[in-house]
Amino acid sequence: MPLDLLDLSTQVRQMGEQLARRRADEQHRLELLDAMLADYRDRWEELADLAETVTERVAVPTGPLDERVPPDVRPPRYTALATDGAEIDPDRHGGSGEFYLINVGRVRIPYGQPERDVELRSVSSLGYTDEDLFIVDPRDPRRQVPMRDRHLDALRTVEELRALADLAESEVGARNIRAEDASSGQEVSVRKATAAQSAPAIALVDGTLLFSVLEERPRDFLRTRFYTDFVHQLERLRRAHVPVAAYASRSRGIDLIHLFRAVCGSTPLVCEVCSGAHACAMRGLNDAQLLGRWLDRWDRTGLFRVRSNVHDPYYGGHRVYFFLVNTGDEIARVEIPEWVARDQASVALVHAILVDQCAKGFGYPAVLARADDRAVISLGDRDVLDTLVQQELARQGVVARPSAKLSRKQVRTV
Amino acid sequence: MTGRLGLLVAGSVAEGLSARLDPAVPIEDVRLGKFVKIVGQKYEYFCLVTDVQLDSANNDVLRDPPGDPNKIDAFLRQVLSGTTTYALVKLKPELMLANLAADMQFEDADMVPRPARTIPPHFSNVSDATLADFERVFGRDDGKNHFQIGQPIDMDVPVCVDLRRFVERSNGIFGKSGTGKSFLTRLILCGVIKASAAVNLIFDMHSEYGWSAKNEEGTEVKGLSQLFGGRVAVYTLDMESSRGRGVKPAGEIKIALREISVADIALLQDELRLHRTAVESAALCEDKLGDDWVARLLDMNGEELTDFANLEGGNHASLSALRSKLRLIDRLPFVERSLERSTLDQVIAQLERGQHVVLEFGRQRNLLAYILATNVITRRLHELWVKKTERYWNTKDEADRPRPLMITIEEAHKFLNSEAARQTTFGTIARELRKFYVTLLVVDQRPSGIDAEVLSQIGTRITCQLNDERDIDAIFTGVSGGSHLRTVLATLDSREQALVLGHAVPMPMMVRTRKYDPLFYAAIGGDSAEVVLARSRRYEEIFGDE
Amino acid sequence: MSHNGIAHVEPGLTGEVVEASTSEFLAQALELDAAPPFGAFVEVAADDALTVYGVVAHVQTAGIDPGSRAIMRGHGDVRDERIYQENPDLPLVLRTTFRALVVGFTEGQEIHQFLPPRPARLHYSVFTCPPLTVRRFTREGLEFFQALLTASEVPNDELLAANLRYIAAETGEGQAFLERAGRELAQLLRADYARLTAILRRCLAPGETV
Repeated sequence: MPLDLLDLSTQVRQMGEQLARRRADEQHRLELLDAMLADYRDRWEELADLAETVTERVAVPTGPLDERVPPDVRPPRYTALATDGAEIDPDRHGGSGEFYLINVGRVRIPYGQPERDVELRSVSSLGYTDEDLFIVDPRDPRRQVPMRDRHLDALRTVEELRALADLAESEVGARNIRAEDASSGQEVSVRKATAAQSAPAIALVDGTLLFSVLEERPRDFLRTRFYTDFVHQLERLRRAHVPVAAYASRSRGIDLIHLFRAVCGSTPLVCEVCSGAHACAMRGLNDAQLLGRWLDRWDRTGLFRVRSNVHDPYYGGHRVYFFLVNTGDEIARVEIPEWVARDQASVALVHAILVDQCAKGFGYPAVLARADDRAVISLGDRDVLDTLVQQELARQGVVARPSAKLSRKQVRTV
Repeated sequence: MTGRLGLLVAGSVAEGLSARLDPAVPIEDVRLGKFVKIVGQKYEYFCLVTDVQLDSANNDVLRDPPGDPNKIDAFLRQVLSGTTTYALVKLKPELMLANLAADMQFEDADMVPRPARTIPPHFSNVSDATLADFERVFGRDDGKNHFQIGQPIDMDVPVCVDLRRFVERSNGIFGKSGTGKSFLTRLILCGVIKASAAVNLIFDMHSEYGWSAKNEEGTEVKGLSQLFGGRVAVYTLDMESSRGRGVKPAGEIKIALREISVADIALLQDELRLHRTAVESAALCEDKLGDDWVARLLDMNGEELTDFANLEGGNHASLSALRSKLRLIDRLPFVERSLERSTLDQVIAQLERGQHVVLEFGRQRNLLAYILATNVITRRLHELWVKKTERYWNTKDEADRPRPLMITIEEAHKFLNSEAARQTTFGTIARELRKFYVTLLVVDQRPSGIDAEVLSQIGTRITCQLNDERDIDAIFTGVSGGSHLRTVLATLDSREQALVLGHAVPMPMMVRTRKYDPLFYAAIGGDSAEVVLARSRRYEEIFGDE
Repeated sequence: MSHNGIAHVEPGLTGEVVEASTSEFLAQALELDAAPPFGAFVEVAADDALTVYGVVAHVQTAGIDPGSRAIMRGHGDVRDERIYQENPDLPLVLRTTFRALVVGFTEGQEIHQFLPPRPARLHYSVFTCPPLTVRRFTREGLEFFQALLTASEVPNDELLAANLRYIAAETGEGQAFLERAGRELAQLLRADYARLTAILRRCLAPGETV
């Protein structure tokens, strides 16, 4: 029990006092910002133009800032698809060998369709070949980056979406079979449409569609590698006509904040709003705090496009839009690719289904929670894997030696 | 109905054994006096049930018994019965016998039932006795030495008495009035007669043994002479009465006055309502007047009496009273002044020959007549038998051995109360234990009236129901270990049940008495059962169903 | 309702062993909420020769993951079965398990009412015992009552009463069996009359004909 609790408690108290002060200050600032929002409510096109000129990543309004959309009634029958992932890093400290594990939870829950099965699966894959363990620069094979840490995260993110696309394709395939069984003699397109109407599907991931890939040098090969793959999966989803969305709980996104910062140049002295305060009123605030306060429960904001110089070149027609939604407990941020954003019906479907999912999931989409459950790798699971690997190595005659630090982590010496 | 009853769980030699009844055996099936067998490791023990108790393994049950009429309580009662609540049966071990199934060598003595000296171990099996067990203990009715007297209360097997041992002692048949003593007496007599175990002289006060009589339901039952024909002769003290009943007596008995002794008078004190001084007076008379003293006293007139009194120092008033009472005797029809020939000699001759004699009293069934005649005649017989015995002892010639004589008397307490016992022949006979080949069969409803010493000499007691505590005590006088059986005795049915204990049975036994009916007649008389039944059916056809 | 994809279900098949020890085994029921009744007899093989008999002593429905807990899902008029309709994923994250106390075993032809030499095997199928088996087992003796009375962490008296009701009904012996069992219990519990009567009272279902 190495924490010095006695000392910490003093610090925690001090922190508490600080937090209280900060809250109060926040409230004040938000009131100032409300005024600003009111001012810019209808000047959204002005803001949109401004956004194109900013280099940082900002949100681009597509309609009046105070747009609030209540959800449609949820469809009586729909299918929710979701994936989530987790990984085990190649253990520098362990001696089991070089490999990584990516575990993707795949979930399909058909609602209002008692004849269909629920799928809750985990797909685990080991990365151990050279191609797996190293990302090679296609232009210069000598340039290799080990697949670990942030890069492994990125890989995981791509695998999550790949699995989601798999789910979507098999969902559509199954649906078509059912539709064929149900209604023969109709036009194919009509059949497909009927099928889609009868039980629409949406695909969900947790977090963001705009994941980051660290590049050591500009225009390196890593982003190409990951984003291309990622976008390919988005395309598969599009072809399958299954709207996809990323759900970020208690969003801390600041894309809109950045936009307003661009407006005032982040100089409080000249800012009408801040009127000479020693810091920008928006300091420390996020989009949810800015926009979300006036959302009724289950309402969403209007759509905002994300203008990202990093992502846009790769994403093309899958450029990311987002809206904020009030789940009652928090403000969540939902990101959708452009082909979903442009289809009002799809947006409404995503919104309505997310509302139902959050209701079932006590504030978080139930299907995503299930996917997360299936993805999580417990300590026990790790031990099992280690044991498996060690047994195999032993069979092969390879002795594994743990690093000194890891050994010490496992057994405290006195 | 033979089967296991339960397990031995406690007990001692002194206080009796306790067995726990198996749950499957209904408590109500186990009655006092039931004959059971306990199989120990080495021996088998034959016991009587002397008590049945309720007990429970847990006192909580009794504090909170499931007594409601609802289903649940009914179910509880069913479950608890025999397990938590159970019956304990108290047993008195009477006899032990080698357990042939045991893997050991036995001495010869172990092969016959002997009084139980030890007890079986815990958890020994307790079961109904089987027919084989009864036969081992009581013997089979073979028409010779063993005679079936009845059956156990709940089984259909014979219980036999050993007649040889029966006649080795004086015996008693007891019970309240109306409990069937006379039937029991008939049974015993038939057995003795059939086996020729002894020659019988029966003083038949109510004239019921010799010829037919009516039982309580009014049915006629056969008499001894009907059953045994020429082997039984009926004599009477009242020829007219006998003839009137269709009896053909072999002779009429008369008693001469000179046969009456002082002892007889003493015995008749109550009946004659004599003062004690009367006996002294009688003694005086006998002493002074000789053998004919009774006649001579009776013939004295008032003056002569006074003179005599003065002369001999007697009490005039007493003598006078004596004389007037003696007149009562004199007036008895069967009493004669003198006899030329005594029909008694005829009786004696027949007895010596082995013929049994029933002496009817006809209308002379009052106590005075009965006591007088019985005492006088018995005295004579006894004297005779003593002489014969002494002669036999001298000659040691088997031909001289006297026949065993069994004398049946009723109202025995009149003859054998403490006072009388000292003075009468009967007391002597009882005490002599057949030294002189004479025994008594006493029939009585007041055994407590019999002298204790005499009682203790009574070999076999067959008892019907008794209520009086003192009478019950009397039954067990001189019998060891009888106290266990008191409860048994007290619960006998008023008729048809008896307790047999003593010399002629290896262990006390409670029985349903054998019926004295045509089937019995057949068994005794040698007629087949079918013939007898057919005969009785014809009788019914002719005379109607009585 | 699917059974993990098992299309045809053998009669009597009711679960699969997920934990096993000498004195008890834990099985997951084939279907949610479809465990055999409390007090019922179940059987499972320990290997080809040995069949273990158990009495269901505890039935539980909970999340499959050890950390997960069920929380209230009803709202408005969404209650009871509608909750399952609204959340079709529920049966996949819940499982019904039942714990059975081992009361005996057969090896070859002999039935024994004491603990077996080996426990049931993991992942082997658990069957409810057919009435004939129950009858044979209980005819052999009632020594297993002791195991039910003294097991820890089960409601012993309720369990025994449930088992007795079950046997009486399954074998059709009804009241006759209850009386026989009652007597056996009276011996075991002779020192505790209150406990005996409490159990016996529970053996008769209300409205049963005696």
